[in-house]
Amino acid sequence: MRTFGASTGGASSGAASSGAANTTAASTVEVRDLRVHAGARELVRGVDLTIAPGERVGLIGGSGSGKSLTAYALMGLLDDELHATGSVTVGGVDVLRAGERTMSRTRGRVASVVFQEPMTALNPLMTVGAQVAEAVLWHGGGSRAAARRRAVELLDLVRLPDPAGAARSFPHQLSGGQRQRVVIAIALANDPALLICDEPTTALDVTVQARVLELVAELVRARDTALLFISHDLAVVGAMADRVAVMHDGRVVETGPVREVLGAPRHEHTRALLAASGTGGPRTRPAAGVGHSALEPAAPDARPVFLAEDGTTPLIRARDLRRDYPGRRTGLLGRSAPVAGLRGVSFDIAEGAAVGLVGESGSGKSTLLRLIAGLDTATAGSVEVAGCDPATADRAALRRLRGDVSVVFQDPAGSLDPRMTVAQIVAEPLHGLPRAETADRVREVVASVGLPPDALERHPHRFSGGQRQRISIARALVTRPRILVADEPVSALDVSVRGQVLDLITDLAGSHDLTLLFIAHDLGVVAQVCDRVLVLADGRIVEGGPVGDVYDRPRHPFTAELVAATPRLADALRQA
Amino acid sequence: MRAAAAVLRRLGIFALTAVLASMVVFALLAVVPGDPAQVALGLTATPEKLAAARAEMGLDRPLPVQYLDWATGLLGGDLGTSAVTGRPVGPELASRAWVTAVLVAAGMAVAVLVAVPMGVVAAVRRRRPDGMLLSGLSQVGIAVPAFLAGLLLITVFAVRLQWFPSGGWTRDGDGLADLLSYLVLPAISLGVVQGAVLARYVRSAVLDVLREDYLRTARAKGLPPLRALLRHGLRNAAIPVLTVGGVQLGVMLVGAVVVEKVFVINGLGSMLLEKVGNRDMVAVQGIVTVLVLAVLVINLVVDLLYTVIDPRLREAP
Repeated sequence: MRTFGASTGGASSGAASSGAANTTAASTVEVRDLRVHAGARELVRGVDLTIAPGERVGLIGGSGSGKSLTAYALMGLLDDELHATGSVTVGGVDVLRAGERTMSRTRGRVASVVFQEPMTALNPLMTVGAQVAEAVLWHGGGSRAAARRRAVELLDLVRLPDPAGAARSFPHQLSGGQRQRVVIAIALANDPALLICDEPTTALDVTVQARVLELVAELVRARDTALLFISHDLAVVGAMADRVAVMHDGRVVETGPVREVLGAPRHEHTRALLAASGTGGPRTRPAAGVGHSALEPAAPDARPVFLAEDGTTPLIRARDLRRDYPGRRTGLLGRSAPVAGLRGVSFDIAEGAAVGLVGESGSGKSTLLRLIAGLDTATAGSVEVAGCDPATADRAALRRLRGDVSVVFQDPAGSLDPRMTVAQIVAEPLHGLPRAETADRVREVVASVGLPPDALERHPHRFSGGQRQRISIARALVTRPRILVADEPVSALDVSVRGQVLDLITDLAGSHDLTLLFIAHDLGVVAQVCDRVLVLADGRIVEGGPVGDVYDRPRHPFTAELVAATPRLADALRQA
Repeated sequence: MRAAAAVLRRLGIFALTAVLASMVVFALLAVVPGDPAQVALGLTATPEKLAAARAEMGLDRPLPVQYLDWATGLLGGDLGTSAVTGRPVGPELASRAWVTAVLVAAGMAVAVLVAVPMGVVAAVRRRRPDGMLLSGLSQVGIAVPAFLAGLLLITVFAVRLQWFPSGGWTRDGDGLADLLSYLVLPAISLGVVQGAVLARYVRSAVLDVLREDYLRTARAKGLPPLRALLRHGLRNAAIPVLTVGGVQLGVMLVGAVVVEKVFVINGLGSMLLEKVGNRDMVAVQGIVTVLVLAVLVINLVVDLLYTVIDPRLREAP
């Protein structure tokens, strides 16, 4: 049994604490007063961190808190323009003073790292097997053929189906979760003493996230590898770590066992992070003992899901809505069968409802959004939005429809033209209004999203992520729409501002009598904003109804899996 | 399988474009003023003689018939007979095109040899004095006109040092060594300037690649920076550079005319200028067609090279 000191760096392994004062030699990681400068700015301001062999430490903090920089410093991979001082010892190597020669034998052998973005972490021009084999060859030597065989073993270890086939494929032929497994295989190729995971699952779907986390936890435990797990998601960190360190503004503000720090936080910043992260979310897991077999059969419901009261006219009405995309080319002129984006969905949504659309990537959420917003036309079936079917509507009706339906996109940085001022951006959807009235509407709507009046003449780059999303919301509301469609509006935002933006959307939906369609992969976010939820899987609606019912008593296995895969702090603390 | 189909499709597109391009070239030159019969007989020719000459040259037939006649000749390597010289265009064009092809290929080789190391070092050491110096040098190189570079090279290496001839080209019976001695100076003056341009693109492509996550993954495996760049970066950086290199090659085919003039080489570019001056429309038509086809072939090769480099393009939709 390990003992954890409550103070910074006070943790020590059993062996070390039984020894004398020399805890350093036994620690896998020993960081003392680490400071990272970019020119005159100090980004990391004196971090102390100790990780005992086999210990699993979580590092939590908002973006810009310095947690990733700390991880890079541990690997000796800081950018050239950053300068680190203090002392960092990893597996006995003095990282900040070691030369490139020593570090190139340390990285990947003593310490490895798995980064956030699996889609771009692998060389697109090289087979996966060659990239894993390279890690083996670089440190172990041996023959090329032996390294290739070892690569296949490693791909098997991270449980890729058909590891030999996977080794021959290129990264683009694998999914995000599979690619992250490959990166894990590379990281563990030489059985390092330390594995650093920097937000390894943030870019993945929840169910994929759950499986990847499980894999990491299992491998780390089996090999007694020390783990430094970095995340902004407290529930994930809670499940992965024994001990956590909370970073804020370049410092570790609190550290201790998971249960203490997240159960009874002492520092105000930890409390703020806790408050901001997933306070909503599925309330309870499905009753214990209810396996998938006890649930209804997997066949999706073909009947329409009525989210509108009987007798009222629904604002959005979809019947057997299909959208097929052309298949890939085969041979000279042929094409394979069309790929279905939506395989026939039917539902009614009442005016004023707040409906969440939940599903994994590729489930058809965005396709449905595009059809409702009139940005795309269905292959078959019909959708009627505010009495207008975009497939048959004339130009004038379509224009009215586009005024009635507004969209807020995921990435506030990418969806705002950097060369336009806020006033120009917000005014853009308005056509043919007198100049004075346009200016009035813009001022009014910018004020309603909580931006200061002097924001109008500024350009998007002057604003933070949360403020930029407020600008997007203002642009969406300026046409006075009846329906607001939000496509993952907070997933690109820092945890600390997510709550504010969600509150804003809820408030505005109420005050503007909006019908809200809210797309998210995160069940917790949906629960915070919506009263109804539609669950999509593989182009079909598998379940729909009031949020509480669906989360507490999921009828479809997919929903149950989704609910179960969603990390929850309470569960993490219970297990800790 | 799928890759083979993609290649076949690309070849089909090439053939179609080539046919369309030959039509455009033919149509353009048919519209341009300058009646070959008039050119052949001079301004004093009587209308009867003109008509007779036109009939003899087949110019009185409808344009589509003339095109088909010309195009079928083209397929058999017959580019028509010049109204000015009375000799077939083909043989002269072939010998001139060969000269230019050798010159441009050598120039491009010089350009790549200059650009790749220069661009890579300028990118990797962008914040060090030597990297900035290389960056600056490539800008200077872009600003130096090829003819000036040629004159400088002639002054130093041909006139002062007398290492290489100051101009001219090989004659029949010369060996490879002679060809090289004639080739060195023009290839360098053509290649250095193009290399300076290309170096800018190599630099920015390498800078982009240096920011890629997979390079960070390679570093995290333990590969030292340079090794990571060589193994994982260069092939990725080659993709945008290949695009620019292909365009440059096409431009150089005609652009080499400046260097050809300085070094008194009878290439394709100088032939085009001559024939335009003589109003030898049949020859101009032949030269332009050959140039267009050469550019199309370059594009085809570049496209096929993309698929060799990038596995994602082998199964493009």
